[in-house]
Amino acid sequence: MAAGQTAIEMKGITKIYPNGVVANKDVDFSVNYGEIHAVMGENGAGKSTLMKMLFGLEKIDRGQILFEGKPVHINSPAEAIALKIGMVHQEFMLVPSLTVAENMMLKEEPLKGIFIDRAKAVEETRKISEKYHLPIEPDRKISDLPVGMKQRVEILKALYRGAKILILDEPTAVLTPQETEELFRQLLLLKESGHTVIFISHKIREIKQICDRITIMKNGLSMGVYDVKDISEADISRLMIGREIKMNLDKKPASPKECVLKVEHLHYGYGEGKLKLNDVSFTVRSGEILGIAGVEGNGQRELLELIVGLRKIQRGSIHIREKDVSKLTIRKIRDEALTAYIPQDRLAAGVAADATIKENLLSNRLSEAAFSKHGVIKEKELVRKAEELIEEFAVKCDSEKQSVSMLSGGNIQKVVVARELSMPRDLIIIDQPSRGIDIGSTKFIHEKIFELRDADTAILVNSADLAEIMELSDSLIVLYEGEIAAYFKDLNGVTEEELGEYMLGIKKQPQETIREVYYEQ
Amino acid sequence: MSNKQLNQVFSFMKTLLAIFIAMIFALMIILIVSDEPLTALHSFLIGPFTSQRRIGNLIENIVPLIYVGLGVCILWATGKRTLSGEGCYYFGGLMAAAVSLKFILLHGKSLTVFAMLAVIAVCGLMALLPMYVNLKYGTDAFVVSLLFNYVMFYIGNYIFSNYLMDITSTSSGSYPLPEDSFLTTLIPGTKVNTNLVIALVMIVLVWFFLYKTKWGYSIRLIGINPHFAKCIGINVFGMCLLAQFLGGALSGFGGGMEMFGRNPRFAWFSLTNLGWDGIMVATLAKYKPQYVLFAAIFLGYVRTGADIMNRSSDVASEIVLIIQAIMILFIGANAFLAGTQQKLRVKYNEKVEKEA
Amino acid sequence: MGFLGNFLTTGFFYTVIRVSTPLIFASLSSLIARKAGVTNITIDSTMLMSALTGVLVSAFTQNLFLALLCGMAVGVVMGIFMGYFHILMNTNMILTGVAINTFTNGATVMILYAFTGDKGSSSMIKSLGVPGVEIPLIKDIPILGEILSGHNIFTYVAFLLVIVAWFLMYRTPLGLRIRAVGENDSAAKSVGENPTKIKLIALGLSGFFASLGGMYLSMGNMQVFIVNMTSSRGFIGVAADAMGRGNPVGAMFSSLLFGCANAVANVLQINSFSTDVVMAIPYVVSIVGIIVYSMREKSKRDSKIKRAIAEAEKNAGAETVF
Repeated sequence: MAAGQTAIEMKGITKIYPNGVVANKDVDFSVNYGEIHAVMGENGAGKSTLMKMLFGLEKIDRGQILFEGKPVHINSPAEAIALKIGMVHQEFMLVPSLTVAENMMLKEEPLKGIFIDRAKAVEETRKISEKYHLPIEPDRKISDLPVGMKQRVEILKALYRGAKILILDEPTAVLTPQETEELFRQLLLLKESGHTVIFISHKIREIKQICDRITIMKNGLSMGVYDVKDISEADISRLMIGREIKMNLDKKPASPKECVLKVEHLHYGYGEGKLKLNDVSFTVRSGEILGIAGVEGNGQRELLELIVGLRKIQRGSIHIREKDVSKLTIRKIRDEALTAYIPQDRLAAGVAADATIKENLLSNRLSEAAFSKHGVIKEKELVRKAEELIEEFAVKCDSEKQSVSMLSGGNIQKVVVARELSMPRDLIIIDQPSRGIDIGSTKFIHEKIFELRDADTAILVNSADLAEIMELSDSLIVLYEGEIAAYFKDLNGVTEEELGEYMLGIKKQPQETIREVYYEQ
Repeated sequence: MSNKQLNQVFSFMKTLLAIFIAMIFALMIILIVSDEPLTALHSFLIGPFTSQRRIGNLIENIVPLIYVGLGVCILWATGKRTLSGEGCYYFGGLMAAAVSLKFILLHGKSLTVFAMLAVIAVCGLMALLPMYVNLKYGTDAFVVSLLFNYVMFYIGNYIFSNYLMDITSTSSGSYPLPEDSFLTTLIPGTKVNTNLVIALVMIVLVWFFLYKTKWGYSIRLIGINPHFAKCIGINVFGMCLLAQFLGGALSGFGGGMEMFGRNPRFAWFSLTNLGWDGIMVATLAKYKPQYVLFAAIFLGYVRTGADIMNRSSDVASEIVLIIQAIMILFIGANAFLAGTQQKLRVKYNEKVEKEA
Repeated sequence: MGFLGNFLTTGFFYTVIRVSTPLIFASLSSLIARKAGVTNITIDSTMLMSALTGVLVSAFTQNLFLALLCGMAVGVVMGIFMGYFHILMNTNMILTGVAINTFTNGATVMILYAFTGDKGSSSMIKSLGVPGVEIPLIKDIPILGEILSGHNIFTYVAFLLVIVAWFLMYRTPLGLRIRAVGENDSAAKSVGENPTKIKLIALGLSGFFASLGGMYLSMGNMQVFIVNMTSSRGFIGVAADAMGRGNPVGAMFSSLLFGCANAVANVLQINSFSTDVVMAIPYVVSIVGIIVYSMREKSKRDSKIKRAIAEAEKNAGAETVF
């Protein structure tokens, strides 16, 4: 088991989920002892699926895993643990009310008679923590620990169970810069002691800093394995994000008018570790589409949910046409500040899947005089309007009485869009307009968005799909680590490589340029 | 047949199957414990229809079940489940008795109306507490409502034993309730009164509320997907409280109406257990007010039958409780027949694809 | 002394302990289930079933040991049965509770009727009981001896079990796993533990504790089974446990509070005072306790955020000075 020897090899791995999504296709992957190996890719590129199969959480459809050259089957975490594989998940698998030592020893409790030998548990915890130079207080409750410490407990938990190969799923996503530095120091120590670290991430800087080799994934495929010192940041970015971008030539140029949405010095995420949004200021003007580009998890979701009132503003301010959002209920943000919102998670937030199409389409306007009188629903009007919307937005269904859960993804999204965009609005917030839906529906939705822009609506769009965001946006901001990293007033001549470098934190525009996205008027 | 209809049909069949299994169990128990199983069976199944008095009994048993069943339909419509119906039903009865005995300004039917308005207000408000603290502080609404039911009972019992108890009478209970406030009897020789009509009207009203008003729409949407409801600006806090108010008020209303005709005196010395029965009725009715009548009729029927069997044979009426338990267990078990349903769904979809 | 004198007697405190005994069992039963993440509302039924089983088996076999064993077994089976429907058949807890409680109400009467021909109580048959014991040394201490000695064996077992439960929950691997499963079952899964198995074990134990509470009523406190003799003590157990915040010792003290209210009510009743207010007090205290606890948790979270924001504001202020 010398350093440099191959520890794990995954050959020709293919994984297809029951819903037909091909998560991995013929992926080859291998790691050596004594290396830190990065697995990089956008959300949905298939890196987590690959690692879950390695840890026995998902079944492999085709392909083979070799452990130190011998073929193995890993069907459960217990079997992975037996092969000395450990995984630190993004969501910590810890019991908050138990102490560090208790979490460490769960299912491996040292015994004195029939009782847990607590002194020994504490002792063992201390021993393992000293051995790997990961200081921890064994008697502290997990719930009292900061995020970085919790992660350390997870790492120690794996090491205590003998892990030689440690999978870390986006470990720095929740850490402050200081905690990240600390983690890196520890990972390098582990590497020196002959451990393998598999480091899932999409932050190039971090990978450059500590990783030896990198496997880049895109759309379920492996884009190759490279030595980190031999590959440039720009190449990584190209391999990971690069795709053909067609500029939309039919699109009329925008003619922005007055400011509708004003976001000033917005901060969010206090009290839970790292800030999700850090001093974000920008405006969206009527008649323009401002796009947000960025790798998922860089604060986009929080930003949009703050604007529509789903989260409480902690610091900074948001105004929609001079109305202070922090003083409005969600209903008033919608009905008085005239804001529409298309959330990213359709089934969780966009529709009530078990309700009918009619009920979904009109759920936000039941109070309108056209649809109810003294609280009593005008059923006929409702049906008429629903049928009209189904027609206008080309929702494919049997009737308005069908339940939404029976529709395809694209048609569900059309129901959401029909509900949100069929009323005159000043501001429209769209999170992932076309995720997971067919081309026809996507085109339809895009056209609707342009139509509304030309009618002087202010529109803010977030999309993880670079091609889509380039097509939709009149101007664009890039969010990285909760901060605006770049502002492009217009997208002519902007290349995907350039965007990728901002999205991955390789580059950042000077403050003066970024500040331009905040229009005074 | 669409997928949704398929689910509905399946869910209906599952309910029927649960009832069937329960009845088979009952049959077996009767065969085992009874020396005269045929007599027992006859009085159990046919008994409730054999005389006017018995039909009267049947209806009397059904009416309270309608109220508590409707109560649970509303109480649980937002998806947050409380047990407030139990406490409210008791307190409704108590309040109605207290107002009719102590409020001397009104007489006759106007007293009835006034008493019931008081019941609605008080019971509705009392049902708010468990939900309010749940929404505000995240306490367990279920446990708090369970405990609060006892508080309601002891408050009620305090009022009962200190202000309403008739210690001069041999029959233990309150002072006799004023007869001029009683409801009009519909079937002579029984205690079936206009309460039946009102209960039927209530079914329509609850259905109307849940399906034809904007508040009902909102409440149901919260029940289907609370996060969605919040996203589109529904006042989740307010609507959850409204549902509790109405559900509590309705349960209390049922208890209150009991006092105007069926009982000469208020004589409840403990919680009535009808709140729990309400859960049973509502579950049987799939939490839809339009089915509550059928669920209540069925439950009332087996209960009346069991009572008659108890009197005319050697089988104890408690057998009906076992029937109910088995039914609820199988209807409530989501995993029961889930595999079969999935298989059917797949098969059906394959068939549709083939045809297409 | 007068009125107060009614309470400051050794008899009064003796009664508190006596009436608290089944509540302690019930609260421990609720505690173990809740630690595993299940609010058990079938405790009352389990107590009833075990109470009846104990009485019938002892009456027909005249074997006390066997009777106790059968009673306990019924308790464990009831707990696991509930777990089976709630966890494996994915039935809502309230519905499981409604079904099992309804079943018990019917089954106890039918079984009693089948064996004794009576639908109210088992007084027709002669069942055995567990005796009381005088505790040497303690019984000779003035006052304290009269309060603490001479109780039924079940009572001492109850207090003993508080300690056992504490050690079980906080000092044994099983307890650790139950707590882990109840709080975050993916944590247990990630180390290869089977959460369903642990939950079923916990519910079996919950049934075991409940069975002792039931048998105390029919074989200790009295030597007869009466229909519905638990009179909702199982639910009071849930309340006592909720107030005790998941700690066995806390559950014991909450049970004693409920018991105390009961004893006070008894005395008041003899003096023809209204007992209802006294009886309501423990419930009110429980509710207030639950609310205050949740409020505190919430304000803790809020103030953490507020502090962080205030600090950030301060730092931001410092920056602008430069």
